[in-house]
Parts: sequence; C-alpha cells; structure tokens
Amino acid sequence: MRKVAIVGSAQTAHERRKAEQNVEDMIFETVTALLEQCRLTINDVEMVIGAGDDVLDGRSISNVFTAEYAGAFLKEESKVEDDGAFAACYAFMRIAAGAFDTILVYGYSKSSDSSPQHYSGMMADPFYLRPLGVEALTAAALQAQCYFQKYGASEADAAAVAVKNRRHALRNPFAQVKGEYTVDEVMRSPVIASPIKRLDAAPVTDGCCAMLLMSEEAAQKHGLKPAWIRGVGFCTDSYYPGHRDLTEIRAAHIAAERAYKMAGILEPWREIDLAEIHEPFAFQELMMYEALGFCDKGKGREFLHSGDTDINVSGLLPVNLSGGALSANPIFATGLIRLAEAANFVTGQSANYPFEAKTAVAHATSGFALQSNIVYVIGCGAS
Amino acid sequence: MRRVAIIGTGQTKCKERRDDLTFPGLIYEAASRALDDAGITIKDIDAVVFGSAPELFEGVNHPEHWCAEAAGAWQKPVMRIHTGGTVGASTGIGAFYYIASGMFDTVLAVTGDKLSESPVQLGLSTVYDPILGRQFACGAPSAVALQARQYMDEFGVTEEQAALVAVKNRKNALLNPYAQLKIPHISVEMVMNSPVLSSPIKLLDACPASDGACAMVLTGEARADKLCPRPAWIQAVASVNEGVYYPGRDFATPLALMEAAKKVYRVAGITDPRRELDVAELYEAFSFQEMLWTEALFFCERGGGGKLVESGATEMTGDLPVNPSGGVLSTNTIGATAMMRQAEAAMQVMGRAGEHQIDGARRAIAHGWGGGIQFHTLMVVSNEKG
Amino acid sequence: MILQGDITIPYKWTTGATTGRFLGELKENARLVGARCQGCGKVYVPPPDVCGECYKPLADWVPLSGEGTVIAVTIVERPLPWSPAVVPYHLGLIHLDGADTNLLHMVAAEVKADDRVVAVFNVARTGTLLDIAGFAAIGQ
Repeated sequence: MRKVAIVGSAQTAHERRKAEQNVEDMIFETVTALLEQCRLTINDVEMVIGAGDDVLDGRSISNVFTAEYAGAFLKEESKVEDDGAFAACYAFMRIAAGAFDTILVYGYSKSSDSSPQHYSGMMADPFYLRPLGVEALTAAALQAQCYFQKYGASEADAAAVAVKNRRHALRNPFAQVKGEYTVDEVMRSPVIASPIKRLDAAPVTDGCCAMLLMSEEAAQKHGLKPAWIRGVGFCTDSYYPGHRDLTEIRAAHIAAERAYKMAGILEPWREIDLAEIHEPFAFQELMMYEALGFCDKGKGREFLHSGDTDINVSGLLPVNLSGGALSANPIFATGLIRLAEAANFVTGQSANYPFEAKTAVAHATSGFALQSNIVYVIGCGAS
Repeated sequence: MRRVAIIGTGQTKCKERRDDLTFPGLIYEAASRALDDAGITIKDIDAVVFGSAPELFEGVNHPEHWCAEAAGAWQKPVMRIHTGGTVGASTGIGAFYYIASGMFDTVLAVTGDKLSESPVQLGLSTVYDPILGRQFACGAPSAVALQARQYMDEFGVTEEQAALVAVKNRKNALLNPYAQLKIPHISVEMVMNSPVLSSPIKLLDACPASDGACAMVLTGEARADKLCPRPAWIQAVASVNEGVYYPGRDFATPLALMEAAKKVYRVAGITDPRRELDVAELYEAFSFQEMLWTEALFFCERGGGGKLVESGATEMTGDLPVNPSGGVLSTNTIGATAMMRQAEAAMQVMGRAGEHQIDGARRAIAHGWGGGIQFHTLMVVSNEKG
Repeated sequence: MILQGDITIPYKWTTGATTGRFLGELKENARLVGARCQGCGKVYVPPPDVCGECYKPLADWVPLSGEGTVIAVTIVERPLPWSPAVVPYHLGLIHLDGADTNLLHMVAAEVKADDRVVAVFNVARTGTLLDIAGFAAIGQ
C-alpha cells in the first residue's frame, strides 16, 4: 500500500446562515482558498470526490451542479453521500492503490437553506421509526438515558463537555458557537429531548471544508508538508436503535481497532497526543473516549474530569481543540473538519493552538445514535 | 496495483413493482445471490460498498444505514456512493479501489432502487436546479430529448435507426431471465408508432422504471485464483464528469465519455476497441443514446452510430454485440442499472450469461451514464489477468 | 435573494412479508409478535428483513404478551411536522417479555425506566405501528 498524506485543507467561516452564498459559492471559495494556500492550480488535481446531501440541498444528484465548482470539469469524479471523512477515505484508497497522486475532497452543507431536522427525521424508516417522529435528536436522547443509567454519568458531565469544547473554540477563527459557557448555563438551556438540552447539541451551520490528499511523491514534488494517514477504519452497526446495545458504540470501537492495527498503535491512551471527535451531542464525546480506548468502558466521565482532554487543565490528550461539532456543524463537512484539524496539529499548522501532535486521532459519524463511524490515525512520521 | 476480479454477481427479478419486498429486502435478494454465485458467505466479506440513486425515490435518507443488515454490512465497513444514474457503476468502481488499495480482500458491492415507491419522474424532476430549471422540469425524457435532437440534427442520424436499437435490445431481452420488459413481436413500425413522450423520443425508445437490485462480489488475485475457475479480471475503470453550464456544450459530443474511453483503453492496452472488445454493455436509457455512445467509445467514426446498428455489427451475431442482456431499454432501476452493465459484462467473460452468452467473449466493456447528462463511467473486464 | 419552494412526494412503501406480518398482527389481532432468527435464535421486535449477524431472513414467529420493562424514556420537546403526538410526548425504549431487542414507542407520562408496561391498542387499526396507542404502566 502506498503512503497517503493530507497536505492541506481549507474551511469557510462556519455560520448560522450564509445569506449571500449558495452551495456552489461556498464550495468554490473553499477550493480556491485551498489551492492558493498549497500554491497549486486546479490542473494539479487529478480527481474530485464530494460529500453532501441531496435532501439538504433540495436537489437530487446535487453533484451534477457542485462538481464543476470543485474543479471536476473533465476529471475523474465521484461522490460519497456521507460525511466528507468517508469521502476522504475513498480518496485515500484510490491513492494508496497507486492509481492517483492528487485528489481533492470537499464536504459541505447549507442547512439554513433547508431543514436539518427534516433531513434527520427522513433517516427514519417508514415502518418502525418514522411513525414515532424519531430523528437523530430523539435517538440520541434515548442513548443518553441508557448510558447515564448504566454508568452513572450525568447531565452535568455532558454539560462539562459542551463547556470545554466551546471554550476550546475561542481560538478557532472558523467556529460558530464559542465562549466561556458554564455548566450551569448549559444545564439551564431549554430541554429539547430529555436529557438533551439546546446547548448539548451541535448547532445548525452553513459551511464547507476542502482537503487535498496526495501520494508521497506528489507531496514531495509540490513541497507540501504531509500529515500521513497511518491508519483508517470504518464500521457500521444495526440500523434500528433498539437492536443495538446503546450504552456502547460498538461500530466506533471496531473502526478504532482497525485504524490502530493499521497504524501499529497498541496503547492508544499513551500513544495518541490529540483527538478530534465528531460529537453531535455532548454526552457522545464521553462514549467516544471509551470506544477509542482512551479509558475503560463507563469511565468516560472520569476521563473528562481528569482534565486530560482540556487544554486549559492538564491537556495530556486534548480532545476537540477546534471546538468540535458543538461549535460548528456543517453536516457532511463536520467529520471532514475533524480530520482537517487533526492534520493541522500534526503538521504544526494549526491556526488555533501552538500544540504539536506527533500522533492524532480523528473521528466522524453518521446515522442514529452513532450507527456508522470512521476513525483515522494521523502522524507526522511514516508508519 | 493489486489485481482485482469479479467472482460473483446477483440480480433480482426486476418488475415495475415488486410488491413482495421492502427496499432492504430487494438489496438482500441481490446481495445473497451474489454471495451464492461466488460460493462464499457473508463471513468472507470484509467490507461493503452501497449505492443507490436519489433518496427521494424511496423517501429515506442514508439508505445505507436503513439497509445495513440487508446489505451484509452489519458491524462491517460500509460507505454509500451516490452519483445518480452512474451510481451502480460508481459503486462497483468503489469496490475495485477498496481492494486495489490493499485495505480489503473481499468486498460486496450492492446497489438498487425501488422506483415504484414514489412517482419516479417527480423524483427525477428534483434533479433540475431549483433556481435554474425546476420551473420547467418534467423528468428525464425531456432533457434527453434535447440531446437526441441535437445529435440527430448534427449527424443525420434518424429515428428509424434509433428504433432499430430499441428492437434489437428488446429481442435480446427475451433471452435474459432477469430482464423486465419483454415484447416478443417488437418491430421498427411498433416503435415508430408508439406515443411521443418528448419529440423525437417515443415510448418504445425509452426505458421502463423498475424495482430491482444488483450485487457483485470482488476480490484480490490470491482469493480469486482460489475461489473462482474463471473470474472477470478488472483491467481498467474510469468515472469522468464534465460540466452542465459550460459554454459551447454540445449534448451530441459526450466529452466525458470520450475522456473515460481514452483512459480505460490506455490502461487496458486497447488500441482498436472494435476488434479488441468482444461485448459491450452500454447505458442506453433511450434508444438513440446507444448509437451516440458507440461513437464516443470509438467503435465507429463520429456520426456513424446509425450505420453501425444498421450493419448488424451490434447484434448478438455481430462482431461487437451491444447489450445482449437487453440493456437499460429492458430494465431500469436507476440505482442498480450501471452495475447491471458491469455484472453482465463480467458474466459474459466468465461464461455465465446463459442464453444470452456471446460465444468466445474474452473481453467486455461496461458503461454507465447519469447526472445531468454528463457523468460517464467505464469498466473493462477480461477473462485474462493481463 | 431567496427563492422559496418545497418538494412534496407521495410514497407507497411496500412492507414485504416480514414487516407486513408484524404490522398485520397489530391490525388484525391487536397483538405484538417477534421474529426469531433461525441462525442465532435471537427474537427481534420489531423485525428487520434480515438478521445482520446471521444474514438470514426472519420468518419464524413468536407471539408476545405485549408486556415488558421500560429501559429508558425521553420527553420529546421539539416536534417534527409528522410527530405522532403533541409535544411534550414521552418516547420509550421498551424491552418486551420474550424479545431480545428493544422497541421504541410512546409511553404514558408517568412511566419511568424499570417500570412494567403493557401495549395499549387502538380500537380502529390500520396496520401501522401507531395501531399501538402507546405503553401504559401495569399494576397500579
């Protein structure tokens, strides 16, 4: 397998509503910024892979229109209708195979043009979930109840995640929701589906992220600093939330095991310096600590309170220095942003914190109650 | 790059409405048949690629999540590819790269759509951009009629020649147990006299809408050698996009297909496609498209597509049979359609095409088409590793 | 500028045999049934078409009492246009006696985790999950 690197990424400022731009404008702006930053032209790009959603766009086969704005005219092109982090994995495989040297990946959504709640509610099957009005929020709320009851984690623990991530986001120029919130403020925000409150949830966001992946030869040729993809794994689980044990994220655990095996990681809590976790709801970050092997099952809250994941406390394994999904959530780009941020910390190019990670983990998810997950190990050294 | 082969294929029985199965049920039917054909079980599958066309057809977002169990993806890696009409082929190509990369050894690629769950032309009208076109959107035929008109005007290709394609493929379909539309006594007159959908396209120039699914099992060289006496080796793949609004766009000159063809011929070492290919499975959702595609694939000169079909060269007895399966004119699920082209091409070189087998087929090409008339995919398969 | 619009598409979703049987039992007999996987023996409620682990269709039926234990409850405050009830409504995860999986459905307002509940059926039934009005507490 050939080595594959992330050599650059760009993001829009993430905002509640971009009134002046349509999706094509956002994509073009982001891709152009990325090419300029890498001192490349679109002719250096061999292939484009998009990630977006027809329903959020209100337009079926939306890449008919978006692909050209990402520079795919008369190029190889494909689309992964899932988070951009999955599209990046497809790009990884095409480069690792030796068929391509340079692939551009973009993920975007403009939720303010549509309704992310409709998008989410339409993930429900027509027979068992849709009649109940189940959406990502309600599935997650049941998951939170199950997890809290089994392991004694509390709403305050989840709120502490929200506080940490939004404080981290203060230094992220792209973040949408940031500030010095308190646990009390989060706890007092309106309940949307108990125990989840408004400030426990990722916001509605318009935004885009683009990323360039290259082979070792191409990265050298263009003089770009590589963040190597040392390992990647992805996995899904049962669709219906009641068919799974909601107190653990089995699919994320399997995905992490695969990524760690590929990267030769034996002791994740020792070997990993930083993580970017896709947490649509605050409590899910606690569950992800466990799935990623940062702590034992049920110990997510203790790991949080150790301060290791908070740069303002011990910061031994900072999680979501970018602010995470809780600070900006352009669906279909949210996970790709995690990967982009992790890569920036590995190459020492983060605009946010002067934190350098030798080895970083990035995670993305989709589906009800974290059904499908992808985990990357990114490193500055070769595997 | 690691060698990759198709070692099993599975198709559902396609009907205008499969009232016996859910959408996941259809996916399961195709996937389990592909596993049986490959002689393996789900335990042998390392990863899954899922493909379906616009989710508005079935009304469920992230159908790969809904179909996780049915697609054999339970606690396995799965990713959904969605590129519209080409999605079936894009999914097969995805599986190729899953394996070529060395990430996975044995992969199940499964695609489908259940078009009868909603009015399909309503769903297809949502492909039109809401700001620049939705106002006059009326499904696929009207968009493609413009392509037909431009092609016919530019090259003098006739409606009668298009009708010959419609007749040829419908006759081939009589030999394919999985084909949906079977019209035993179809003739050029019948096609010419069928009602106009959007001139110059008439009802019998157009594909039906189907409920159906298709799946393939792909694997790397070592397992293919062990598991399959005569696999379909994938020699080259391509998926090329052009634009929708670029100046000077000519529907009658499918640049993306020509670009894709040049690439796969180069990779597969093909210099004279007409001689070196034994079978072609092309995505002719409308009869005249087959003529246009044969030109863009360099089977004949520009404008020669009409004469090619008249010559009989593309019939099952000709020197380069096109769509022995009956093609898209006989079955169109959209989601699985472009994979059916790949599966049929594979079946031909594996010698498993049954009554519509082309004798001595060694190398075949499979084509996919979609998007806003601008996505094209190609795959070349062979019974030789080469 | 903004162009307003919406997309409305009518659907007729085929239930297939497995879901059809499950919903048919609700409608015809006002009872809950589970489907047992002939591979692993797990009883699924509600039944998917296929057991993911064994990759076999589910067709072996097990009648259930309709009673079970509540695993978790969320009070839904944010409605969807197609929500089944006026918010706030209580959505529960219910472990039915005899099942190996949990069912999502509405529960009565007083119901909490670990409570025993029973399905309450509507008199007029049409063959949907909402033929069950919800789950009520047993034993008071």
